[in-house]
Amino acid sequence: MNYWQSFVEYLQQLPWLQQLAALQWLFVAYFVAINLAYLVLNYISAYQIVRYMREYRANYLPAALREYQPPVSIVLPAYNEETSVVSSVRSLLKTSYPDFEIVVVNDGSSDRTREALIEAFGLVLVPEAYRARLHTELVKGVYASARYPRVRMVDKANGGKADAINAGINCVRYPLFCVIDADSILQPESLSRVVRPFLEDRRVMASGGVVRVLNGCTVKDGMLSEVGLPRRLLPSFQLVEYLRAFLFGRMGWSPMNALLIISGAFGVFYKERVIAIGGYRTDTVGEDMDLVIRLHRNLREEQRDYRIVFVPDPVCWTEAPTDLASLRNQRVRWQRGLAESLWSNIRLMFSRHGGAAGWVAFPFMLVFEFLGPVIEVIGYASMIVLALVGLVPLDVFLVFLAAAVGMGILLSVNAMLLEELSFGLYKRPLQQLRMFVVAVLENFGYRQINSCWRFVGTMRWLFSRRRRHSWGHVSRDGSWQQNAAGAEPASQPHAPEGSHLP
Amino acid sequence: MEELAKGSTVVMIAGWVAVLTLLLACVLLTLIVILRMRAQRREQRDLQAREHWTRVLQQALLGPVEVQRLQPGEVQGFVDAWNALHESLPEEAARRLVPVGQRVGLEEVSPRLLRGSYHDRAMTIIALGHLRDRRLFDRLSPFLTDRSPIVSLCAARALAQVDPPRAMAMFVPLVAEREDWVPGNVARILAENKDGSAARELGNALLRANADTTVKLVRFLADIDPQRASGVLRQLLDGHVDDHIISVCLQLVNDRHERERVIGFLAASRWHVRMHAAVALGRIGEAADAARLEPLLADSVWWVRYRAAQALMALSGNGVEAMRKVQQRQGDAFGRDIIDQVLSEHGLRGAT
Repeated sequence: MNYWQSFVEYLQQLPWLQQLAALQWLFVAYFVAINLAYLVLNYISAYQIVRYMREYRANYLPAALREYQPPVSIVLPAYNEETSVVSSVRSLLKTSYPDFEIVVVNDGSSDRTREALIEAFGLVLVPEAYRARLHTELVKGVYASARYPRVRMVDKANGGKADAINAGINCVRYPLFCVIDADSILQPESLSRVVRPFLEDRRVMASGGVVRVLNGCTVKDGMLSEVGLPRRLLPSFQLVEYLRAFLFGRMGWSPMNALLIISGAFGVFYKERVIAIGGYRTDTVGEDMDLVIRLHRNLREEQRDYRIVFVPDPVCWTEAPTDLASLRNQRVRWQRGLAESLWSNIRLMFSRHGGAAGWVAFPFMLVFEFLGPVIEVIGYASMIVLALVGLVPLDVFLVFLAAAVGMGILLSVNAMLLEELSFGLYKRPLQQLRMFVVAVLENFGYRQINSCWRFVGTMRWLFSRRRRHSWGHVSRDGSWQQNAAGAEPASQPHAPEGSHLP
Repeated sequence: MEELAKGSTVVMIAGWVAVLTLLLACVLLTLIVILRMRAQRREQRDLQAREHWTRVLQQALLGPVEVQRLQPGEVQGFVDAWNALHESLPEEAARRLVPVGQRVGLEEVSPRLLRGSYHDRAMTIIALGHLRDRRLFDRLSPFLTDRSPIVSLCAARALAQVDPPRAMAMFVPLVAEREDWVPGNVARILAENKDGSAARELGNALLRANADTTVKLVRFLADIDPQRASGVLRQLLDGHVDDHIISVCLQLVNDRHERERVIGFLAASRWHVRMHAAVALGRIGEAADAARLEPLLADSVWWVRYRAAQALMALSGNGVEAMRKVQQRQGDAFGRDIIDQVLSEHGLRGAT
């Protein structure tokens, strides 16, 4: 015991440990700043959502006035999706949207993705005068169908997801295009809701909606039919996390026209504007975030009056990873994508015409989202070390831990309240209680491990070379498909490891 | 690190933050659960009322029914059922429901709902419109200028049901002003007008319109009164006001007498004017106009080539064989490619 005390006393005299102890103020300041910032965002988005819901709570426009919508091209990039691509296209064909086309881009799949599409939709090679307005890998051919005139397929050499989307953009016919992940599930009204801002404000250049966790929900004929909660804890944590991220993380930025992310899983853009900035970049894993930040940068440099908006409607449902390895890969990639997007568009920050995007949102993302995990991991680790060596009394350590946990729970419960006030998708009071338990539990391990993965993502970005974004895959359990009439069997479900941050 | 420990005020604040945030989270959770339970009860009550009134209104379509005045808890359900049924019925059948609406006291319960939320206001405005009672005009007309596009458009449609000439005299001037009204919805309200007052008011508004509003209004006029619109289009095409207006006019022109005017725009400097001229010629032109379209197959802009090829295909006498001959005459590879594409699309359409 004496040896231990001597060792602790020795440690307490170490100058670097003394310096680390002095740094604790920095971590406290960071903790206060990040929570205040999130609370402000929380209240901005609460105000926005309540206002939005008062106007759009139901489809109470007379039926006769609901029909007009501009045509939209849906781009569906696919790589080795032979088991799911056909059902994805079939579910898209069932959307209630009046006028749309679906352009599936087969990105050099090594499985039977191309053949599955040809067989299911009777596609034939057509001599399309393809316009390569965005440079992509070789396009081998364009296929169209007599039976399904809305469906076309671009068959191209493998080049990654961004390259596939660019080929799709080259091929689409309509001024608005929507990128959808092959594993995403929509609702019949999804497209209408995300397109609505384009109808109401001609300055709108891009629009995104809320992505929700599909695990625990029921899917029927390729469309969401019943909302439920995941049975397992890991996707439940992600469900609460998605609620926080989308309901106030995104909605808070939209009224300031400072939204820097539209999820790659579902977003609508003006084609000409995207082409004007060179389309999606193929050398980043965060191509969706990069595109939105570049749109801001270019439009602000040109001093255009524009809007990039976010609607709070849940429009897209995606399956969250159910095992730690997949989740780790996903989060590491997201963090890398974030770092790449921020650094390659650093000119936006504090630029003369940067507006709220350059002066508020960009620095926020840099300090709290990019540097945040580094500060958090060092903060947690040092606090534990200092508590162990007695430089921070245990009760002080516990008080700060309780404050952090309390703030974490409060932010999650705020998001739950916003969900209830706006969409009320989780119908049973028991579901609310379960979400609360999850919101408490996630503070004991999940958040910390998430910070560690993001820390690793930042390190990987620092120490690895930029390279073309290839298609990774995250394994998912596909349990929502088991009761899905008309859905593909979920023998080996997998989904593109997209870059869409929650 | 004793600084942090010694900073007892900071520690105390942190302690209070912990306690207060946890307490607040528990309060919010209680609130969420109460809200959910109330919402469940309300949804259940509205659903029952809606089902009941749907049944009653369906019976009313078959013959007279006895109805009671609306109870406070069933107003929402009645309004939902009333609006849904009206939207699904032809006008003549829907008129048979009007006495039911009057007897249940829809008009009497409406003032409270018209002061309520957006949702209640819009639903009530729609419901009152279905009563087609001119006495309601003054109660509904203030909502036409509501800043919400949803509420104001619902009011426009309701007023157009209640008193069409008066409604159009108020609605059309606002069409030129309001940027937030979705054009398709405006077009639908104008198209539902049967007594000609919409076309008359649009014609009057066009006389006073500037370049921007002319483009907007002439589209609506072309939809509901093509004959009246063609005179305006002719004037605009001759006036060469600006390229955007010319493009819009070319999209709307549908009179064969305008062929020569349209041909004059095939060589316009702006690509979108050339493209719309090609489309218009495909719509109103003759077989002899094919020769005028052929040079556009080598245009530098893809869309002009594509629309010119489609127009060639559309012109009478230009079937697949004729298109192949046009293709053989093309010295430009882009021109040959675009004909291949249009022929293939034609083939696919033919196969359906």
